[in-house]
Amino acid sequence: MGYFGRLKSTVVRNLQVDLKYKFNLVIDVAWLILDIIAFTFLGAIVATTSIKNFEYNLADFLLVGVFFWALFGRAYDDTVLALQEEAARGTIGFLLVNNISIRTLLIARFFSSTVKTITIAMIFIFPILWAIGVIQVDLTLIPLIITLFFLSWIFMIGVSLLVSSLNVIFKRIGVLASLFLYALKIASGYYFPVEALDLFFPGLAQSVLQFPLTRCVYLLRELLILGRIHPNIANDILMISLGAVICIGLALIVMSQIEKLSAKWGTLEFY
Amino acid sequence: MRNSLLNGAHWNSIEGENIMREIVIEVKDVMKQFPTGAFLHKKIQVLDEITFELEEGENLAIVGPNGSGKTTLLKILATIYLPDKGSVKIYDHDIFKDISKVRDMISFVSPALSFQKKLTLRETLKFFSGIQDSNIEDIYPFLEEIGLDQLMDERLEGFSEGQKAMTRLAIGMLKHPKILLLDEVTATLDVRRKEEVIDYIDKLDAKLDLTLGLIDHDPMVVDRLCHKILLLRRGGTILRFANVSDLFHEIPYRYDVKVYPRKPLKTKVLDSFGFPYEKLGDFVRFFTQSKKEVDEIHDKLFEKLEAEEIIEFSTSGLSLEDMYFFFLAKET
Ligand SMILES: Nc1ncnc2c1ncn2[C@@H]1O[C@H](COP(=O)(O)OP(=O)(O)OP(=O)(O)O)[C@@H](O)[C@H]1O
Ligand SMILES: [Mg+2]
Repeated sequence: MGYFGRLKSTVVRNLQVDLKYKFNLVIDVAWLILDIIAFTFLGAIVATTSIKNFEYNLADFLLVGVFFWALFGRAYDDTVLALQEEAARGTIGFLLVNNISIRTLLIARFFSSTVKTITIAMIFIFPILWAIGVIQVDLTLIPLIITLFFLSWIFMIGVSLLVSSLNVIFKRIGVLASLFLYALKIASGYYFPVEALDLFFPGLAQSVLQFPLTRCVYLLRELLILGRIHPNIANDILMISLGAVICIGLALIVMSQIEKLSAKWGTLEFY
Repeated sequence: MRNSLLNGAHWNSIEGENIMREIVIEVKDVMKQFPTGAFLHKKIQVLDEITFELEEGENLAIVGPNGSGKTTLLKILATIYLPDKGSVKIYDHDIFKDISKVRDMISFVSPALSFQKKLTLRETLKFFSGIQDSNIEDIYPFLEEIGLDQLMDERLEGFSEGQKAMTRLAIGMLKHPKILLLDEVTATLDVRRKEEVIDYIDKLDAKLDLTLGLIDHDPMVVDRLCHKILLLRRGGTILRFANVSDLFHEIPYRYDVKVYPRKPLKTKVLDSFGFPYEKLGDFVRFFTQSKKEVDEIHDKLFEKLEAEEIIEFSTSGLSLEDMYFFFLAKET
């Protein structure tokens, strides 16, 4: 079996288990719907405090963040937890001996979680956001929107791998990993617009906005809410692509080194 | 029994016949340490100066006290851990350079493998076989032999430890490995199941010329399945590496007889039995070569003493622990 065959069967294996635990899926969906309600209210309440040059309805703004992280947050969480879970089930040795490296295992976990979340987001979140009028997509914008989601996806695989690589050496990174996810969410304007950072740290917003993921969500908001293509979009996409490639490349290099180390140090089979 | 290995040679011929046998496992001067402590700053030595070879079709038993590094050695052969020093070659493929080729040939059955509770046996086998690219029907004969075929559509949460152990073994065999590494697979099996499992592995071995590497505490399992035995000392060095039959023969006894008398027995009385013995506190252990000699001790004892003067009289076969301590004592 070639590499992709093994990757595919690992993905299928994860989905098999995820589907068996239907209760967890129900919780995921319930949680997301709760998020939507919460952020709609939050948006409505905070909307009174105005930020300069801010052209969105704040609730809409936040809900795009919810949609974005509905797609990637779960995949990140699942991936970062994957090693701990496999170790607890004693399956790491089995996977290694069957030529599934730690990298492959994590990438497969990210893929299968993506399949799971896209299904949930497309069935539950997207229609709701569409129905309440947050998202008004012009069909011609869809290729651009998909491109941006795809690039964020690649970027997030890299990020998840990098964070998980810590897990190979240190046994429990749960708290660190969730802090990191919070930071990413804040940077992407999940809780409040990044521009608001300037209220506390003047000048910070401008640099955060250059961060590929932030840039991506920023462009997505313009496309999804305002139906507008940012004039600089070609250049931005180029920069985002570069960021994504660097991120995943770095992650793969780091992972392959860390895997060797862990086989020497015995940190993986020994949770 | 095969003749001893020629050091360093990759091919061996066997007494007159011109059969060439390939070296399957070649372990040279392997050392393994694990870093421990909060900052991984301390090291514990687990294996040192491990050197041995195994020819095609030869089966190895790794024996030693708890913590002597048996599982670690098996995991190194399975490519899960890399040694800190020395080399390991499997069918002449170095585990550092050709790891994926080595992995294609190996199956490692670990007692640590646990299952998704909600999957049935059939789903579980499919779940693992998907990764191995194997076909679950291949293992039906084994499942029938041990009676697990009746449980195909039962969930694993209801399985006993023994049934889970057999499921792990089934998964390991599904891959059709050339080398099957078994970590204490028979530990939780009852006597009958153990026989069935051994029979099956034995048949499979005869058919496929498997190479087995196993850890087991039961001398019967070792005796039935293995040609070579690797005795590991506490501290992870080799106490002995030899043919199983040679080692069993070197030990002067087969059975031991434990006697627990109400009053300590005098040395003169003990000597008069005419068998080697040792005193362990209030106990006396006699060593014998056969069941007949056990009966002889029994009869003599009850001739000399009244039944109520003996609290306990019991016999047991040679255990691998006995063997370990015998060779350890012989060394010093
Ligand atoms: N991954 C690891 N990290 C750190 N220490 C380890 C690791 N694996 C094993 N050890 C240590 O190495 C020593 C040998 O362990 P190992 O499991 O190989 O022993 P064993 O001979 O199989 O023992 P048992 O008969 O109890 O199964 C033990 O002290 C154990 O704590
Ligand atoms: Mg062990």
